[in-house]
Amino acid sequence: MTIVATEVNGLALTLFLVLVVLTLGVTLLAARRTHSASDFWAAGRRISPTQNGLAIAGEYTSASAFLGITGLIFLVGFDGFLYSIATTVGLLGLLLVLAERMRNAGRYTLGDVLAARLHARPVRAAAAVSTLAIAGAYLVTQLVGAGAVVQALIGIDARVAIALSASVMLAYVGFGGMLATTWVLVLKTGLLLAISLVLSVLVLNRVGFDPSELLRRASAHHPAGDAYLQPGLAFDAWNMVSLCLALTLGALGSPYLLMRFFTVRDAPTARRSLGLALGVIGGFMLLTPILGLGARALLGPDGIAMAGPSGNLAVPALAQELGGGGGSTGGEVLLALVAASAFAVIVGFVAGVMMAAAGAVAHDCWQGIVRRERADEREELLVARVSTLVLGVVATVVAILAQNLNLAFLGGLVFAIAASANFPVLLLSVTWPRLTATGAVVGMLTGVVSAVTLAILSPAVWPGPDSHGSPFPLAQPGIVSIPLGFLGCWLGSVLSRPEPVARWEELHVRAESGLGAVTPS
Amino acid sequence: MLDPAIDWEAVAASDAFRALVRRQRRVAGAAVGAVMLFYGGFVLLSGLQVGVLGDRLVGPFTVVHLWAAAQIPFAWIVAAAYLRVAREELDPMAAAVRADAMAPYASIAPGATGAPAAEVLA
Repeated sequence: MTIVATEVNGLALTLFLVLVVLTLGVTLLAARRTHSASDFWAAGRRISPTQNGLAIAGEYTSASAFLGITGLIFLVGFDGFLYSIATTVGLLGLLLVLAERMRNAGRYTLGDVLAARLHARPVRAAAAVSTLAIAGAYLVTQLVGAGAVVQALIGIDARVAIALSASVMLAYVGFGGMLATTWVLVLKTGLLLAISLVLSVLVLNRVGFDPSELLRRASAHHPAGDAYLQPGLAFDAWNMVSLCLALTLGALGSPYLLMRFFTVRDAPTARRSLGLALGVIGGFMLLTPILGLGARALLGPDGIAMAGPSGNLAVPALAQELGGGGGSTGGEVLLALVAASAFAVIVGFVAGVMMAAAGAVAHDCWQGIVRRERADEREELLVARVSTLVLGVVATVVAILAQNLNLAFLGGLVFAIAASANFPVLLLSVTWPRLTATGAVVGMLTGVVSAVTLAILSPAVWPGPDSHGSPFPLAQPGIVSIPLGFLGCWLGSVLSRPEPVARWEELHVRAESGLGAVTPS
Repeated sequence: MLDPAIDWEAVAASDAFRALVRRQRRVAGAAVGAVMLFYGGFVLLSGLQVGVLGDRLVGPFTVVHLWAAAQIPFAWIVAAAYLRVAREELDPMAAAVRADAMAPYASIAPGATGAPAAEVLA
């Protein structure tokens, strides 16, 4: 038995269209309030802490979190839950180390923070390269994911689904900028939480609200038995540490998350919104084992085929089962709700990622590098919209051509790049007076190159899945590539001429105290 | 990017600013240290599959389950504590630094606790 739709699922399609119309309506409202560059990039810095907290939570849960983590828990049990924990702790790290400093020091993009104290053009270029590498990988993988999910659950051809998701996302970003993106993310977080909560309660109801029973039934249906509930089924100690390092520190280097701090009025508001996001994300992550183990416990021997090889369809299959099984009205309704939520999860997430990509092109490259801060706002916004369209079309074409891409590999790699290329530079830019533009550029490039190279040399890729004898023994590059990123920053800095100390002092005072930080105009 | 209206060097050298940075580093440092112990220790020891973690507690639940389940509530507690200290201690200290720095320009920059540079200048 499979849940893959052979014909168009009318109910799911209707819900899907309702969502599209609703979010486009919201975009229209947002477009009317988007005039200046500050409106477009940062929603005029007038987003409330509650809205921003929900939007951060939305920006932190891609399809990899909703379908991927639950699928992993379904497949490998305990080790899958490590993803839930590591990503949650990452948000705490962001709160403790970077959030307020970024808000105080920056303006719209990650490049702004670096350009505030370092020779602007090279660091903007490096920041744009790493932002585009991360955003590009995310846009392609999430669009491929959207195609697969929509085809499986709604019955529309994957290529049509990819093009449709990309068009909707382009409309949010192109017309409504950060305000529309924020509202779509808030809506998405609400849907994600609601559907996860409903499914979790239904799972617990099936096992008489006895968690022990859930664990017993889940392990009984897994070939590994009791080992399914213990660490070590998927990762050995080194891979586990490396993975958790990349997942946790990746949050501190994600350009699309950092950008959200610029949408609120000041650093204390950014801090409050992140606190709320941590509450929401933690709550969702605590539900992931109920969903993943629930799918294992309730789907029985058919579960493996229904969930697919990556486990990505475990939650949709679980929803159908909880509603009464395939063919039942309840099953169809719950499946349609999950399909619509998954679609909202993906388009909201890619809209936020696209904002960061457009910022890298229009604000860092065009305004900062090509026009040397001399372009007026109209020109910057025109470039932003054109680059959004171009990037969107390119990502759509690549996603359609690359539907057989190994999504798990690329998804993990994105976190490794963010942790290895961006985190060291951002941390040192607000804490180390001696950092230079050369150090920042060398550090970022070392991070990107080492994460990508080690991932290619790892057993996951070289010379094929699950191969032995690959040059790099770990599937996760973080434990090596993150220190290499720091080493690159240090070497590049000590080997180049120091930058004026006055600019460090200004950034330091600005970042720590908020003196001179940009405020809503 | 240099803002000529503010003597950044003087602010950076002031006692109030240095106290703010010291206090912030101590608070965030303590929190990060606690996370490294509780979360880092968990990742390392469960990766190494240390024997005691497999001991049964209740039904099928073992020590490692309890430690794993406690990670997210632990993150909440650390965050709540940090938010509270930041609001009650660090924010007033930062506001004082800003007020001191802006005092000479109080007549031309009303609302001296806020930022002196408008969006267009920053």
